[in-house]
Parts: sequence; structure tokens; C-alpha cells
Amino acid sequence: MPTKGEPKFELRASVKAEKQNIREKLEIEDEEYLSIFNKNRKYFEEFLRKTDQKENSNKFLIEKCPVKEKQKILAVGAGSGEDVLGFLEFLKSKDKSFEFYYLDPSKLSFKEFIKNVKKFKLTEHVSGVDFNKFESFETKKKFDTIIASHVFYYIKD
Amino acid sequence: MNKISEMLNSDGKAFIMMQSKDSDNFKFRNTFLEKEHYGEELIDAIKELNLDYDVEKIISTLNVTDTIPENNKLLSSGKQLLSFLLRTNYDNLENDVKFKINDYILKNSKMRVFKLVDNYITIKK
Repeated sequence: MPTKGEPKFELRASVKAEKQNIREKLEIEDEEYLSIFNKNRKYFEEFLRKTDQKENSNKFLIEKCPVKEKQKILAVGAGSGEDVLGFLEFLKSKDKSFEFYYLDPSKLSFKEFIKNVKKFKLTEHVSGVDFNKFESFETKKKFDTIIASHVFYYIKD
Repeated sequence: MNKISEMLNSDGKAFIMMQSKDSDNFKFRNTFLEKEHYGEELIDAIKELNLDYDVEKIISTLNVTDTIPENNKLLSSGKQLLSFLLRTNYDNLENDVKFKINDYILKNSKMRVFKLVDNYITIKK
């Protein structure tokens, strides 16, 4: 759990996202934005159907990331999780405990992420969520693994 | 990059994936979009910061068959894929731009496949 005074990561997504209506919790009220998001999501899903890129990124992480107990993993621009969920599932299959921290400014992407996390039965490992952009993200935590997959196109210098 | 490095444990690692300038996807976007960043720029920045790093190039594929019209008609799946690649709604593009896109893909996709070349960068603390 975050210590007193520590910024961000205040939300225990693993517990709260399960219990609350996600739409209400994330305060997604802007229908126009929702419509744009859903359209972009369709475009992205079409890309996923036609490429092996995400499979390759998960294979790479499985091969290169440390497999150790109690590691803290941060995904920058985690989106809906396609780039990391295979790796997280691998850690779980090895009976390794780990804490996963989600960083992405899109609450709608988080909604997709939570759906995927439930599907992979990884909910209990999601230990923190932050909706800041990377540039404004602050934490005192130190991570064993940081993953940033195809996100630095959008981050300002 | 310094921010990433500072957030790592003493034996931590950061894994950054970013398209290469050799990627068909990058070349396509760079032709039709204003400015596209690529992994080699980030590698230069990492070198300047004297961070300990490794890089591997990993090749994936993207099937672009549906982005090529048949009998002047494009499948909705093709439009959606092009909308993803161009980060804009394909249907809203001018016809001459659509023609140039079609021409580009016909000339630059081998066997209707884009080769996606990605830099997989590992930064060690």
C-alpha cells in the first residue's frame, strides 16, 4: 500500500475495479470522446488481427525480463495491455509474486485493460493505477522492470 | 530517459520498444504524416546520457492485403487498418490522397506484407 504522503498510485485497482461499476468510477461522461475512442479501438483491433508484433513483444519480455519474487513492474503507456499481459501470465505460471503498476492517461484504455486482466485472472496483481502522462508522473517507488512499448512517439522531450 | 533510469531499482531493467526507421510502417507513415519519431533517435539520446543499454532489432509482419482495393472497392477491415496506420479516419481523406496511398502500398509491400522492424532497447541501471 502507498505510504502516507506518497503521490499517485492511490488506487488499488485490483479491488476497487472489481466492485464498482467501471463506467461510473472512471467518470466517462463525454459521449463524443467515447465514440472517438471506440472508433480508434476498432482500428487498433484490426491492426492486432493482422500482425504478430504483440506476440513478439511478449516473447521478448519473457526471454529478457527477470523472473524473481516480489518484483515491481511498471508499464508506461500500458493501454489495454496487449504488450505485457502475456508476460504477466508467464510470471503467474511460474508462481512468482509480482506487483503491476499501470500508467496511462486514458481511462477508457484502462477499462479495456481491466477486462483483459480479468480474462487472464491477473486482477490481484494490479497494485497501482495512475492516469497521468509520463511527463507529469511522479513516484517514490523503485521498479525492477519498466516496460514502455511503442509509447515514446507521443511523449514530449 | 533519465527519469526512467531513476525509477529503476539498483538491478532493475527498462524495456523500450520503438519502431525503426527501417520499418515499412515507419516509411509509410513518414510519407503521409508530418513527423514520425523512430527508435534510432532514442538510442542516440541514450548514448548521449551514457546509460548502459542493449538493442535488438526484431522483425514482425503486418498483412496489408485488405488495404488494396478489389474492383475499386476497399473492405471495411482495410479502411480500419489504414485508419490505424494513418491515425485518421480513412473515409475522410481526399480521393487523390487515397489514390497515392493505394499506389504506395502496391509498390512497397512484398507479398502484401509490411515488414515491421522494431528496436527492442534494454536499459540497465
